[in-house]
Amino acid sequence: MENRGVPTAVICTDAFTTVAESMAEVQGMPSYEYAVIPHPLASLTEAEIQERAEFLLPQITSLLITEDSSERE
Amino acid sequence: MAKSENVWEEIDYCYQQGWAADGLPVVPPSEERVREFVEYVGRDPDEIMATMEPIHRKCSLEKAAINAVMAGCLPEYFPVVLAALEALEDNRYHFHGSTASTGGSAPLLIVNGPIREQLKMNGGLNVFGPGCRANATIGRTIRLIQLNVFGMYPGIFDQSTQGFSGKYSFCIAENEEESPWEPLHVERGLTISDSAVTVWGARSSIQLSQRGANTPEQILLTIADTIAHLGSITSKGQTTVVMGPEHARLIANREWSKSDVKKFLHQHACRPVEDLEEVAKAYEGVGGGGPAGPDGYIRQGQTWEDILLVVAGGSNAGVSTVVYPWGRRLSSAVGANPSEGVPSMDFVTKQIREARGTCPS
Repeated sequence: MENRGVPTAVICTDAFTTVAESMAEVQGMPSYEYAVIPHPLASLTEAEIQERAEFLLPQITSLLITEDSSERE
Repeated sequence: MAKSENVWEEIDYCYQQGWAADGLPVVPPSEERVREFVEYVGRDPDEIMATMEPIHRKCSLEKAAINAVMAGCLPEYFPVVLAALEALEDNRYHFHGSTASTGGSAPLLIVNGPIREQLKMNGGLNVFGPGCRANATIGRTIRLIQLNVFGMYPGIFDQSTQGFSGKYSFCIAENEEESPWEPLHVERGLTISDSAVTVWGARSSIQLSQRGANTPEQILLTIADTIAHLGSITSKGQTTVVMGPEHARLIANREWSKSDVKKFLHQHACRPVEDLEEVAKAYEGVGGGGPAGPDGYIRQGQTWEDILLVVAGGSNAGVSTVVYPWGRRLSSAVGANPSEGVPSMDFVTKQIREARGTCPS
């Protein structure tokens, strides 16, 4: 999506950072920045999800607004 | 290529290069041996057999041959490997997603037709176990290709939480000779003289025991219960039932057809939605079992045709196996491009092309 010019924020739990970095490298963006939250996610309660969202908000805002895809490569 | 005349050094060299990526020793892939495989099938070595678009990798026929040599195949096995790759490349099979997934899946390969006899494949006793070179090495070739050609290494692009032993090799033949029903490839549109391989993404399997039953219903209710356990049931999941010949004959002797069996299983492989709500699995999506049907039951599969039925194993006990699905079949996604992230999985059958060359051995 970044390659198509669509501002994108990738969210990843910390269990998947290795595959996220490997995929970024394959896609030609080895230093691609993404938001990370603690694993797990699927078993959280609604309140815990809300906490994760609040934790993520500044990271996502930063990824979407302050940088473009070329700067994030 | 291997560098030494000493066989042990050659094998160790392959380990050092990372080619024995499943942990077991590989046959050193000499250029001459690889050429024999390519010449046997008489096809272009640069032909692209399978792709994983999300990671920009392709498997050429020659790369497939290298891995077939390393896995221990004979050249005669190579047409089966190529047909399996054609099935994995089919849009109905979600090749990259199923290989990368936490679900830890493996492609189940089911071989039908005269080639089973030619290759001395096993569809009988110990069909899922060790002992048959063709079964073991054809299945292993697919895994080595996933590892060596596509780089789907555990912990990196293969995120299997646990995986299962079928990830080493998961290839069987149907026991057509002891089956009371038409073979799988004939049911799926080919003729009895064709050879074919059917491929499907499997999560794992369970071997069930039902030795005292003497009616179709007793056997099939046992199988249906095994299909519908809380850990696996999903309304969009398909199922493969590998029925032992003893069960199959008892059922067929009561005039039940294959479709009768599938319809009964689909009707009974279900649970009330409350069962899944109790364990937080009634939702629709990854790991969920929903949605429930209008009757308030969650039923495995959307139709009875979401059950694949084959006969394999020995005729010495009332044993059958249920193979669980890796993913879901989304009917609207059939034919869609898997690279666009549509997580669909369906049974795919491909005819095995006859080799054009001659076998060196």
